[in-house]
Amino acid sequence: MTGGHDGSRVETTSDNDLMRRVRDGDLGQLAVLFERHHRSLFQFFLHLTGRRETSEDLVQDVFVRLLKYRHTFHAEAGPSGSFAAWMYQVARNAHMDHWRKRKGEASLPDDAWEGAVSHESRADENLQRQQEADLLRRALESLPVERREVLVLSRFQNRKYEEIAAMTGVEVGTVKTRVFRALRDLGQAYHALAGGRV
Amino acid sequence: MNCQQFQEHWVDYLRGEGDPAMAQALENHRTACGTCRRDAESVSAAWQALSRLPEFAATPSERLRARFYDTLSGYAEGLADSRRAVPATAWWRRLWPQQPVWQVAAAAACLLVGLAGGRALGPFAPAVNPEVAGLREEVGRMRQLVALSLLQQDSATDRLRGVTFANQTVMNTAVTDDAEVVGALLRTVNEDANVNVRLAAVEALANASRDPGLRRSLAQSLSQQVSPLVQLAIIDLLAQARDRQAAPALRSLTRDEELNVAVKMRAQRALQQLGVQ
Repeated sequence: MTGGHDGSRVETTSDNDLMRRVRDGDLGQLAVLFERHHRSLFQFFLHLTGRRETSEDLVQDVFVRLLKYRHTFHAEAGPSGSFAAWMYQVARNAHMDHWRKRKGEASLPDDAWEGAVSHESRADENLQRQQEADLLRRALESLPVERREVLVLSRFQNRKYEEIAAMTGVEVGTVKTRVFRALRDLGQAYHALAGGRV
Repeated sequence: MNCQQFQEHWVDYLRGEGDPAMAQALENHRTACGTCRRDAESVSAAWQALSRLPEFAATPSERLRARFYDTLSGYAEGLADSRRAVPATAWWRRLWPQQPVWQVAAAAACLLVGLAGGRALGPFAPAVNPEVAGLREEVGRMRQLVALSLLQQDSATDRLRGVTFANQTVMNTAVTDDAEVVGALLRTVNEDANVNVRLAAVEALANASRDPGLRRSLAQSLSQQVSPLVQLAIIDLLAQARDRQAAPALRSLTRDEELNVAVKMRAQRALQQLGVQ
């Protein structure tokens, strides 16, 4: 327990400190980490799988793995925010395991992109944006899973290159090149799907 | 600059990062290299399309949070149970007979010895294993943290769930210090926007009503409450706790001309129950 009726001390405790406490047996601290990270993890998985239910299952899977493998957490090693890097590493493994099991199934149904269009926009703008979102969804779907992953981490999750490098075990320069190539492939697929209109 | 370096730095350039010398080198390479020029156009097209997308607003369902807390709670309790269990040792396994008939006989003998021993040692309280006590405390602390976390959520469903966890903590005060949780429940009674959450918090606090400080705070809260339902619940709690110190607060309710009639009558009845009218 970190104290404070208003919970402010709970909020300011770093992720690394909380995970160290979980590792040392204070399992309840995982609740704070869950509250901080489950939404961004859900969006990470939703961008990758396109399925709400699957994404929720994967978030649950990640937190179960964090509990199960808590003894392997070593905060002192990583760059900025090593808990986040470790957690996304676990998330990538969970996604890859899921992907191997489900290989061949149709992916990225429409529910990934619902809410990507503001309901306050005018109807015609809304329609156009929905079409663009749909094209992007299909373009993203056509990318190999590794490229989709680096793009989601970098562009949608706003993870720093250093963090992605720590998660994937490569140099920062390699991450940058991969992001370039993923965007290039996405742009080409988008262009092809739009019938050369872009 | 070569094509590899171009690929490495072009996205930073699109983001407006990097120094002017790098920007110039990138532009020079783009002009000179047809492949990189075409690649850069594709990257820019994807970049712009992604930028036009509004903020991604999808959020998980409430079910995810419920599943997580159930799992965490179950995991901690399962861990406590498994540590409590005494592992079989190699010498004990060697003593255990292999034939089912002898196994049944040995089990019956153990049962008889256990019953006789239990009868003989009945008056003595069993010693509490310190490790088990520590684990119980750990589970209690976890519930406490979960309760405090849930009580701060935006969703009323989550806060109701937080009240449930808080109630478990308050009922289990033998292993945890519940002052923090009681404080959070009291804040919920006074400040929560949802009347159902406030009502549930009052019910949970009934388990801690032996605390005179808490009863004083609840009596003060009576005049702040806008919901007659919550006022009725607090009056009942104070009456059941036989708290005569609550009389002034109850009396001032009976004098309030704008107060709900049912609340006023319940306050009068409570004063009669306390014998202070």
